[in-house]
Amino acid sequence: MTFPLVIKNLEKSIDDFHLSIPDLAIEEGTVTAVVGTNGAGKSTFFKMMMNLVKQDNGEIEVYGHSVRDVDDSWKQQIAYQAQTMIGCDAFTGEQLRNLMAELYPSWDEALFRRFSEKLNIPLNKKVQKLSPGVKTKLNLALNFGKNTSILMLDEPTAAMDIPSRNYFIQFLLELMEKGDRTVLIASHQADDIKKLADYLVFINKGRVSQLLEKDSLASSYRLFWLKEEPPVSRVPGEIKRTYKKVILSNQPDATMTYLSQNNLVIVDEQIPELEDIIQEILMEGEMVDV
Amino acid sequence: MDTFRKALWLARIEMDVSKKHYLTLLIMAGIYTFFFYLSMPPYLEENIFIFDVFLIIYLVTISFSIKPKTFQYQKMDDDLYGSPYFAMLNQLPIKRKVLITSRFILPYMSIVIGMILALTGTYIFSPELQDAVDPLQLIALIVIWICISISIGGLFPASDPGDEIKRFTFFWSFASIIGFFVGLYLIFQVWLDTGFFKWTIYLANEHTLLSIMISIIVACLVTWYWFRHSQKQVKKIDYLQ
Amino acid sequence: MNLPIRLSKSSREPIYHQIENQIKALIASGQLTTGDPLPSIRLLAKELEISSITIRRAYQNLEYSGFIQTSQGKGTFVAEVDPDMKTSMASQAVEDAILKAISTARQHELSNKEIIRMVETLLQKEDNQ
Repeated sequence: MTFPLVIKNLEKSIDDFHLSIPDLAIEEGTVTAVVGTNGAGKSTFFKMMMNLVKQDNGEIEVYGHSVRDVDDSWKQQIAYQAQTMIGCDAFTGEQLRNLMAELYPSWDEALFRRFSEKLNIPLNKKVQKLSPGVKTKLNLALNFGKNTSILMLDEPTAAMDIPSRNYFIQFLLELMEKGDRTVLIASHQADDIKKLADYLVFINKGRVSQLLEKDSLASSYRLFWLKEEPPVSRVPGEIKRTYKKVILSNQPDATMTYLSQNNLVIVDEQIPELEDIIQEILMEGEMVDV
Repeated sequence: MDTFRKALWLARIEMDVSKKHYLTLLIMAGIYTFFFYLSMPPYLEENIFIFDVFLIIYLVTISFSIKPKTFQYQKMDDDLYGSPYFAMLNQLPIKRKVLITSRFILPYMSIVIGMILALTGTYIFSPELQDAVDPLQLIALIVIWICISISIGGLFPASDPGDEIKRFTFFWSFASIIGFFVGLYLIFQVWLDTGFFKWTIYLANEHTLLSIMISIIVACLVTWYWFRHSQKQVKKIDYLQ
Repeated sequence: MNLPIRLSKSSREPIYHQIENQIKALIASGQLTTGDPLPSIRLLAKELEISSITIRRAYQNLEYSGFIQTSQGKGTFVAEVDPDMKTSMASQAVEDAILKAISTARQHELSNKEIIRMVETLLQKEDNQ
């Protein structure tokens, strides 16, 4: 197994904000979603990977090369899309294409054209004349065109309309088919996470979780509908109770053992929606270790 | 050499989108030439300080204003001032040396063009300046002023990577500008009893070759300093925007 | 290309297992025949909104037990399956469905007799139609 991105004990303080990332290795051929509330440090995390924000401690390696090395040829392996497209206002899409096509040896003209034609991106208009949604689309077209083995996308779908977002997902999945591409995506769209992600990484107030496999994370939670209200205020594993009889547990086995020992009848049960789990993790600050 | 070739390629891309702004350079050179021509006779006679001040304002404006807004130094987030265009390029696989070198090419080109235009223009129209300098010495004078402009104007490409703005940064920048002009006034007007430009005319006339050599050496050393300063900034700054 | 796979969120059966069993059932019932292409891992992961790791696991198990075949660069296809195995799988599928019905009946506190009577009534209804 190859790990194109490896992080070792990263630390960074900016004023009174502190970001710390334990050991994290992103596996080749996977999509990892970085999930967190606004201001939790997602963008800072991405910018540290690109060495735009400099680390205080620790190490980041791209295909084994430290991002702090004088030799920064690793940058040719990463297409990074920042949340906002800065410094491009005076250029047209075509001019930016010329810039990228020269800088990235892996540039794939067909990918760029296909994406921009499908989404009707006006390539001869200056970027400053484009709406935020179209800017994002152009930015994506350029980053897909770079055809790099690593894609790092910071909220790529934020300003996009639904059909374009669906096309983006489909396009990205098609790129993933070959199996040698690695994607890191920060998104607030539950849909992106559900349809694209293999792994999730949570960022909460500067603290970064481990890599969590999406389905194991989901199945480590369970929602139980009981016939009657349990006599205790908190049954083992319970993290939330609604309507007195609906219990969300993050230790389903312990909860089930308790319920059967105490003759409490389960009317129905299911794995909760991913959104609900994310909500619990981000709002309650409960960091999971699976 | 490869570094310079790549930097030139980047500068050309930048030039493609800033063509319109070169018209501004011509207009500005015209306006200032007219002003220099008008004030040349009283300046050569009475050392009016305002002439030197305008000459310096001219060299500063040509080195930073000839580019679209997004290339210019501006507020990028709460603590960082810099060029958004530089920040964008910094995300791409461009070697730092190439990137920084590319930032100096167009401003230096504007300085060379702007200085040659304004000084030869003034020379052609002003018989007083013709009396003061011979054509051959005029070349030395132009070289001296190109080198002065490069040394001062190099500050602008050197600040493209950005600066972290702290509480008193603006105060100190403002204070150093005032200090610079006060120093200029004290050295030339008070101490040497001449003008800055007038003094360079004297240098061009009396020590033609020596002044050319020294100004080129100084311009190279200062540019090297600005280059190092840029490198240090890119290495240090956190680009959060 | 869409496979009629329905994942049950309420089942205690792991998701990769559910996928395995449903694909097996599709093969047993003849809905998928030898040589039919299966969707790519990524595509199925997107359709079912689960991770590609889970799908890969299910596909690997299916390939290991001889139901499907993957050829490099071409994709995944239904393999040749022994007819006996198909029959036993079919009865397995029916058994599973009945077991599920029984557990629902238990939740509603139906007795064995009541369940049997219900099945008989339903069968008669079927015949009359």
